[in-house]
Amino acid sequence: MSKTIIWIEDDYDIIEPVIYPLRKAGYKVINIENTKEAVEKLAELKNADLILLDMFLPKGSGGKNFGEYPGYMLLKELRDDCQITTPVVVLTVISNGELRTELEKLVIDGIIYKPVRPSKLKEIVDEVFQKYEAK
Amino acid sequence: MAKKTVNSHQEFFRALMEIVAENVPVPIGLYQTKNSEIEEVIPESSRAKYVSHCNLIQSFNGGKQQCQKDQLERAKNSLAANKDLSQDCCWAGIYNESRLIKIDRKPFALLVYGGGKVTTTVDKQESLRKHEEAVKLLGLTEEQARELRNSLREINDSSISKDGFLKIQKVFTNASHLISELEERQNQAKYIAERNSHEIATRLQAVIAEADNLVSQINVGEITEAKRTALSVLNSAESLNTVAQNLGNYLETYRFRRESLNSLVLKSIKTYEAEANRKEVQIRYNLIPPYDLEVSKNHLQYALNNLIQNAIKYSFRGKKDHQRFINIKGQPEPRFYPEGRFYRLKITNYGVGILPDEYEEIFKDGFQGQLTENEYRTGSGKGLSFVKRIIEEHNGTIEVESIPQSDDKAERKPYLTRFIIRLPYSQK
Repeated sequence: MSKTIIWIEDDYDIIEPVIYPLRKAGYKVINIENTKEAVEKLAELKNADLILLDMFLPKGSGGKNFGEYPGYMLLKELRDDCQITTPVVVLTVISNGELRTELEKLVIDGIIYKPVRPSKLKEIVDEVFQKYEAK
Repeated sequence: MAKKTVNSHQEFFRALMEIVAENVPVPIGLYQTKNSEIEEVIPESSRAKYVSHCNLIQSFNGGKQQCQKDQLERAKNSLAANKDLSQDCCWAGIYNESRLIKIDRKPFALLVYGGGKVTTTVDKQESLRKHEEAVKLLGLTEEQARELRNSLREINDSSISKDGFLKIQKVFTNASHLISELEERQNQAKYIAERNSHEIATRLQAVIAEADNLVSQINVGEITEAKRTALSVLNSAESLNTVAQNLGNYLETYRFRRESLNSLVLKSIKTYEAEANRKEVQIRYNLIPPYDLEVSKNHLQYALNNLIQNAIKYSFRGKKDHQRFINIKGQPEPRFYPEGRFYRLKITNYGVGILPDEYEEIFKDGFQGQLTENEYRTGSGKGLSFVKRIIEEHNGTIEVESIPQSDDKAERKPYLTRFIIRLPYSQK
């Protein structure tokens, strides 16, 4: 069965070209556009094989304000309150040492800085899956 | 960079405290709350002015630690009490006076000096009571207790005049205001830079992804012109990312020359065509000649790029049965036609709007419209302030209007937003 990746990312215009090699390789990639939608789709996040997570995310109409780095706060909620242990790779522009430390405390499988080559992203995703399969 | 500035703020306060401490007869200290901890600044010259009672009690085992703990605790309480002036007795029986430094009516720091005058019997009794408690707490011998009591009696009331202390308080209040404003500006600049960087990297991400996919689609080992071009695009985009990361304000010198506005508009459309296609928004344009204007080409191109990119970004996504458009129309300003003094350009889109009371605000640095709040967090809020500055440097004007529309097929309430730019044909 093909693996499911959820990419929580609001810049929809970058999604298609970036996930092209992943789809070509048989992965199922689903997009969630904002934190509100993410909170509403906890079951999908729990069952996914991997979450790709942006840091700057809109809250969505009527959604909860997750502060300066909504992606980080969302991950905190997923890990601490919802006990979702799905592997997470952060896909962001922000290179902030403090944020990195805080993200690592929430257990992530890597941080990729945008812009990234899709071929490189696929390599990293493959490595994450290989790591979990080897366990 | 932020860290360095914070350190220089601390250094500034320390230097200021040194100057004050050297010129007053009593020890003086500054206390500030930082991340729910109290930070203490006591200059060396102040420590040298500690009365012998302080030095003696600190020489006993545990005395120094208790002094430190007591000072911080009292400072914390005084900051929490939010009282402009307070006088209290330390654990060892010495009175201190403190004045609050406020910013926007909120406690920012506490200025404390030793040697508050003990004038009433009640004060004297309190001082003695504290002294006895200190003796017990430290477990002093009778001889040590006697020595300590004698040192307490010997304290000469020395103080700073009320006016003197008020002046010191004023200096610190003004300095604190300045520091606080600097910190706020610094945070704002950092936030804007971060959002800008995000925006650029996102656009570059699309380029890099398309180019990388193209390279991958061409058979391994096969070097074709297309592959070379794709690789070149990929590499250029990646080097541009490095430049973008170092990007500061757009400060290039204005160079006015006669240019075709039509060509500049076409170039911007070309730049954002793929983005519009991905969103299924069609860009329609029609510029009526004459459109050769005296402009600073790079600046105006930059302004047009911003306006067209915004128009796409804030357009609702097109649907199969519901085509979306961005209209770019230009014509010589009718009032002066055919003399031709001004050219008028209108860029219209259909989607997320701007509220009427934001028409002026939208051109301010860092501003983001209320209606965009739930949809687009990543805009820098800087683009339109640059656009306005550029248009004004061209002796032109820019206005915006955004009118709510009724459309059953729209996913949210749509607005027809129109930017109207007037540019003079000549800069003379």
